[in-house]
Amino acid sequence: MKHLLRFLLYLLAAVFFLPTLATLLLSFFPEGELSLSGYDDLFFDCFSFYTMFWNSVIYAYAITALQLVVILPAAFAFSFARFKHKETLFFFYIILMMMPLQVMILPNYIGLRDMGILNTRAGIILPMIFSPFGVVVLRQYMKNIDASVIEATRLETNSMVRLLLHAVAPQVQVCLYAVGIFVFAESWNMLEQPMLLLQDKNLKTLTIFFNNSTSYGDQILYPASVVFMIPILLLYLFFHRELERGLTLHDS
Amino acid sequence: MTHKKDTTNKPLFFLLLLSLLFYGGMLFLSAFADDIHYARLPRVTAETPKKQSFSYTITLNNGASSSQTNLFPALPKDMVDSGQVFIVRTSVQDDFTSYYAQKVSIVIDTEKKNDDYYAITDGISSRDLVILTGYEALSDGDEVALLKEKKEASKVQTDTLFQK
Repeated sequence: MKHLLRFLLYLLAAVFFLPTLATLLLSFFPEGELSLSGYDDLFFDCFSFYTMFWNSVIYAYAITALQLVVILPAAFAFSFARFKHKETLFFFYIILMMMPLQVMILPNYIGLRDMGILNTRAGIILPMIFSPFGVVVLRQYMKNIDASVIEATRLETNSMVRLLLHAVAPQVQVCLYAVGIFVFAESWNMLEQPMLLLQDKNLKTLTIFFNNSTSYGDQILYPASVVFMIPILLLYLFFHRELERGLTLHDS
Repeated sequence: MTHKKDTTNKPLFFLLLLSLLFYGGMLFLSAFADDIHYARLPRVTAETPKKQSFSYTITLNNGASSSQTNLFPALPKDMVDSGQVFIVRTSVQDDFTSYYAQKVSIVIDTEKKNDDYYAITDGISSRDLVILTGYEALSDGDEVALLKEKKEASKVQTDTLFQK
């Protein structure tokens, strides 16, 4: 029974891994024969790829870093601060998290247009910073942290920044890494926001490159897909232990 | 007393190295991919067909023949005989201008020729840029690096190559 279960798990893993493996293999067989011509065409013929790649890098890293800065005090406030209607507010926060992106994109569009930052990098980064997902996850995680450390730090300082950095952040570090990876993945893969909020092609992301796949062809798309996977794979390899521990929510 | 090597940071070191190579490589390619691309292209010179003076004989209505000399658009004999007549086509995609060689069929007037040139009667227009050097190894649709003036082809100036 144990072997059968293990076999089924391996089989399931293989099914999930198959598209990635196929992409990797096909990138080296652009015309049915082993060749690097696909990579050659991508790297030396398709210059718009680089613009889009660096745009994706800028958006993903900026959103991840800034969102981590925002979610830590927000989650701390929802966990430890005492204010009226805290639970009601958090309830609405969860509802906001459940909203599909397609519902939120129009209000975002109108807001960004009125602020005059439509079709700018800030127009992509700003709405993504305040995503409720990280706050909700981190708030749940904070329920398990040692409150005595926070109380002890409060006796030493009145600075909220110091409290967050010295007493809270070290205790939720694992969860921050896990949330960071999720946020990075979400930002790296975002498609609707650059499609709708950006008109300038010099600001568009790699996902738009794949969306316009008809003008490039398979020869370039498979190698581009492999390159597209690398940043997120590297980040996962860096932080996979923290991701696994963070997801358990009961890390000691 | 035994000494154990600390191997805990090894994977992290390799990952850092890998990341550095990846992002560094992408940065390098972002900066130099277009230069590498243009350096690998066949270098050609192209000009609009020049008019050459040809002497030819015409038959008048009364049956007499008359010798005349006139200017006609002409192409070098070597090029026409090899069948490698290309004109330059321009393509602009994603703000990048590329030049492609398009093979054309031309019609020549065998009576109008001199030691070096044939007069062209059809197949190219006076505004077409005809590839005059570097056409030997070209195929239809090949991308080319267009040198602006013919004299630059012999000394291959890299700066000129990279002008897009």
